[in-house]
Amino acid sequence: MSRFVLIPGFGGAADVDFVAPMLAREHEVSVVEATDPLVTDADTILVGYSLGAVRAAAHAATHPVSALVLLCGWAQLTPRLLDWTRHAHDEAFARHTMVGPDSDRAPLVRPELLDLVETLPVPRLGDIRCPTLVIGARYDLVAMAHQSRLLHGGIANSHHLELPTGHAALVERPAEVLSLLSAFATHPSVVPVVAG
Amino acid sequence: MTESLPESRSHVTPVPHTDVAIVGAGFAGIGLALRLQRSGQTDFTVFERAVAVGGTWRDNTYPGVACDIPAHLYSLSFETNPDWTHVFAQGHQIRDYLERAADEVRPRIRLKSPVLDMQWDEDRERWILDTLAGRHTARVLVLACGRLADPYIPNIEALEGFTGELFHSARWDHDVDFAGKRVAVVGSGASAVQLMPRIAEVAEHVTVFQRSAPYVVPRADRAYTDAERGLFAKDPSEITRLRSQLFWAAEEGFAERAGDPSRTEAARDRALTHLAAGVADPRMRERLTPNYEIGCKRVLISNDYFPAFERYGVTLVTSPIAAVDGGTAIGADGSAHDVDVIVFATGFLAAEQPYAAHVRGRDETLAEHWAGGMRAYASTMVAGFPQLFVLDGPNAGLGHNSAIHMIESQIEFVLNALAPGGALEVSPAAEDAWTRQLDARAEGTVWTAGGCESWYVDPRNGRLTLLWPGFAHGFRGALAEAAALLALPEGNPV
Repeated sequence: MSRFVLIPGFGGAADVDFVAPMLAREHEVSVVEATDPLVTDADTILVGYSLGAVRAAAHAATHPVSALVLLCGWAQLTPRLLDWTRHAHDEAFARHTMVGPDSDRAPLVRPELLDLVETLPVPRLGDIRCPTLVIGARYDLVAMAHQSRLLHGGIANSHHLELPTGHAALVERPAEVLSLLSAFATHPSVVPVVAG
Repeated sequence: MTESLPESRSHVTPVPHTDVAIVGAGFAGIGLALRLQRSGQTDFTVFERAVAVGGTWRDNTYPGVACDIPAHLYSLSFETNPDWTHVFAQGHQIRDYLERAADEVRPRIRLKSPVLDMQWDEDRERWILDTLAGRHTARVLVLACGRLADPYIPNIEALEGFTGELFHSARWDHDVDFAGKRVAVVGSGASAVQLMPRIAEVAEHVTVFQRSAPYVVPRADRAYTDAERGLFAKDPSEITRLRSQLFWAAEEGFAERAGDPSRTEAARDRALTHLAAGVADPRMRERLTPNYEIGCKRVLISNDYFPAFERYGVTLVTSPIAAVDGGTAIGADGSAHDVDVIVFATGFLAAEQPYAAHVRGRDETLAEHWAGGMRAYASTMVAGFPQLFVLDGPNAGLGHNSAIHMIESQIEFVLNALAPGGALEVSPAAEDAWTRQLDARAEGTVWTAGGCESWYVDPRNGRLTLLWPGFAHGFRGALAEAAALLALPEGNPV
């Protein structure tokens, strides 16, 4: 049994409404929203998704964690991403740009969380020492897959995977993300296999 | 390859020997044969009791027979098919697919060769197989006999005196013309839900004997466009992509069955809304409403089962059939129904597999070993039965995703065991530990505590022996770990 702390993205806790209870069948799980206080120790597997990934990376650079998972995060705040957060207050625009070509899911976006993007500290990737799994998304029009590759490049002890989804990987393929988290918790040194 | 038997019997014709004997030519048997051959291991023989390959898809030819898992997912990952016409395949399409897949290994398949007895020869460390076509020996025996192979017909008083025609859904009598007939359909499971509307549209009258009501959800079927099929043919990676999408979407279904009340509730609502849309009469709806938790029994998919009751005036008897009196079928509730044909859609001998009585290991038969319910290390290896593998056996079924994925996980396990350094025997302690872990995991799940009687559970002891109580990807991961443990120098993990 591992202890997971999950930091969701623009949808808040709704982002992890599949992964959190399923992970909790085998592990201790807590969900910390992007604005909540975050406490970890050397046994915590910290998982961040989207803006939660940026917060998780920043935290792991300065606090103890046993392992880190960054899903659809970013290494740099790009003008493109900032532009997206301004337009994403339009619900239909957000929905259509967040999912990949194979999905008809409708991810939730909480407007107040969009405004957080600009205020998040840029993580000092070189200070992250724990085993890290970086998961990008091939059709991510929000953060862009390349940003996950940069996270991988900047973190010393990392593995990198790419899912065939849009930015809303946790909403499009929650079971696949769950399988990656479970595998990583068991063997943080082995790259989990992406079935697709 | 042939080899003589020991001295005392050397006057007999040499007994043919094969390295790997596979019993059964359904999905599991053909799948393993293809993998073996493609890896260069060509010393194997597939024994099939029937006149053709195809397993359950050969046997089930009833009107409306179709698969409940999307076709691109319900097929072998290493033998994909760009030509599936619809999201869900009809039974004959799956049978044709298996026939085509079998062509590659056909010289090594022996049809009409039922294996009557399989016995472990401790001295020579091999299996002796007595088939209708004679004796064979094999280093390794793989039971790929399926789990839905032998029809089950319940005990019914005076059934032998029935004056009409009767048969099981898996042994369909295509000579029977239902036009103008009064028909009893016994059962309301997966087969009944598919065949009842087809019979009702031609028969004079249909009576359904329902032991317990099923949860039924919509069947989201459609034809693939020519462009889609053309793309599948030109770029096989598109099939891989679709399979991945279908697989991970299906995996989410497990949450409805375990551990997530909000998803269970949503699934129940979806099924009950579908019932309400299909049946106008509230009293009929009530009688078609299950009295157990969703997922406890197999959740069915159909768009025409519920509407058939009102469209064709189908009679619903909410009790099993108890007796027959000449041409009258009598329900356990005492109601009497004059019928010309009885169709048993009553499922299969699943918890107690008939083949198990014919497999004799070191000290006992497999049926004796399984007297307390089927059990096997990694769902595949049985203590006291060296060099034997069971596919599609204990805890290898699923309620929410493709059975073919499970079979492929087991095939991979077998190939690992057969590779150099692989272990071909498992200790009783390892089997016990695996079984205890599974029993603990099954405790309190919807299958053991959901208030239903299903074929997933062994009626002799209440153990969940047919179903894997987890994700399909978890099964693959668990088997990969189990194979790795077996390969350790100390072997026989506990």
